[in-house]
Amino acid sequence: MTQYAIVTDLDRCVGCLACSVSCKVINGVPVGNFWNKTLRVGPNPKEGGSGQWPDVEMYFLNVQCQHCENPECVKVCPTGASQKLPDGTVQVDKEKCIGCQFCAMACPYNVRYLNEEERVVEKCTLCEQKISQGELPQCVSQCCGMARWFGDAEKGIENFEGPGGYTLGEFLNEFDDTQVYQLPDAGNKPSLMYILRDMKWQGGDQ
Amino acid sequence: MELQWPLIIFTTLVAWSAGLFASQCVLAFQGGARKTQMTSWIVAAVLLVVGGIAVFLHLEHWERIFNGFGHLTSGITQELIAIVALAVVALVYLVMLRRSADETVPQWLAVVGVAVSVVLVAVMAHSYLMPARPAWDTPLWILAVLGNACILGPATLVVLMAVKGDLGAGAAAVTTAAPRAAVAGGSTKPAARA
Repeated sequence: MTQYAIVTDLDRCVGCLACSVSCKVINGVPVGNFWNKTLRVGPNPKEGGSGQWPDVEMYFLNVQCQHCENPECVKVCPTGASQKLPDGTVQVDKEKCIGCQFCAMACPYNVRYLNEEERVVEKCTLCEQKISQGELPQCVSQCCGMARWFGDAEKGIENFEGPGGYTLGEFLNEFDDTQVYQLPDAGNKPSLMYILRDMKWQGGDQ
Repeated sequence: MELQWPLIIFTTLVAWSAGLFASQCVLAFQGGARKTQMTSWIVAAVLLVVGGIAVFLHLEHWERIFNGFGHLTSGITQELIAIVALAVVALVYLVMLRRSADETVPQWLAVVGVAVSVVLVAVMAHSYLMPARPAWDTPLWILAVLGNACILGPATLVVLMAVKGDLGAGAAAVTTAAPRAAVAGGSTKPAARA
C-alpha cells in the first residue's frame, strides 16, 4: 500500500503563503477558492506564562485536503466521482461529478470548493499531475522555509523528500513521535502530518 | 456554506408528502376518509414531484443525473432508492384505489404505505448525519424530520377531509385543533447548511 502525504514542520513555517499562492498558480484555482490555505493560529498565551506579551506563541497552519485513509467525502459521493486512488490520494473525477456538494458538507476540514465555472467540486490533488512523474507537489517545491516534505507515509516520514534533494530525516531538527500531530479526526483518519515542538498544538487532543 | 434552499424545500416537501400519504394509509387501514383518498393521493404526489424538482435544481450538473447513483454508502443514493420504493407503493395504491368500487385499499397495502413513508423520511434525514457537522450529527434530526411529517401530513389530510365533506360528526373540533397544533409545533427547520 502507498499513502502519499505531506509533513509540515510548523516550527519552520514563516507564513509566507508561497505554498498557497503557488498552488493557485499551478492548478488554476479560481478566485475565492483555496486548495491550500495558510491559517494563523494565535497569538495564544503560553502555558504558565503571564498571559501577556512576551508570554505568547503563534504558528501558521497549512490546511488542505488531508487525503484521509477513510475519507467521508468518498462515502457520501453518489456517483463515485470522489475516489481513493491506489497511491493513497483522494481525487475527484470531474466527468462524474454532478455538483451535489455533499462531499463539501461531509469534509471535516472545509477544503472542498465548488468551481462555479466548471460546476464541479475541486480540491487539493497533491499535484497528481506532478507526483505521477516523480516531481514534488508545488507547495512543497516552492516552500522557501524548507518546512514542507512529501512522501509515502507507509515508508516512514524520515524518508519524505523536500526541495534540493534533501530528506526530512537528515534536514529537520530532531523531534519525537509526540510532536507529530494531525488535524482532528472525525473517523476519517487524516494522512497529512504536522511537526510542532515547543508550542502547544491547538488542534485538540490526539 | 450558504443556505441551500433547494435542499430545504426538498426535505420539507418530501416529509410533507410522506406524512400525508402515511396519514391516508392509516385512515384507509380503518376504512375511513373514502371521499378524500384520491384527492390526498394527488396532493401527496404533487408535493413529492415539486420536492423532486427542487432537489434536481440543486445539482450543478443535473444532465449527468444518470451517470451514477450506484454508490450505496451515499445518503443521496439511499434517498433515491427510498423515493423509488415509495413511488412504486404509491402507484400500486393508486391502482388498487381506482379498481375498488368503494374507494378502499387492502389493509396490507396501507401498512406497507405507512412503513415505506417512515423509512423514506428516516433515510432522507439520515443522509445529513455527518461527523463533520456535529450540530446535525444527532438522531434528534431524524426525529425532527419525522415530526414534520407527523404534523404536516395529518394536518393537511384533515383540511382535505373538511373540504371534501369527509369528516364525521364531532370532528369539527379536530378540524380546528390540528392546524393549530401544526402552527404551534411545526417550527423545526429542515436541512439548513450553515
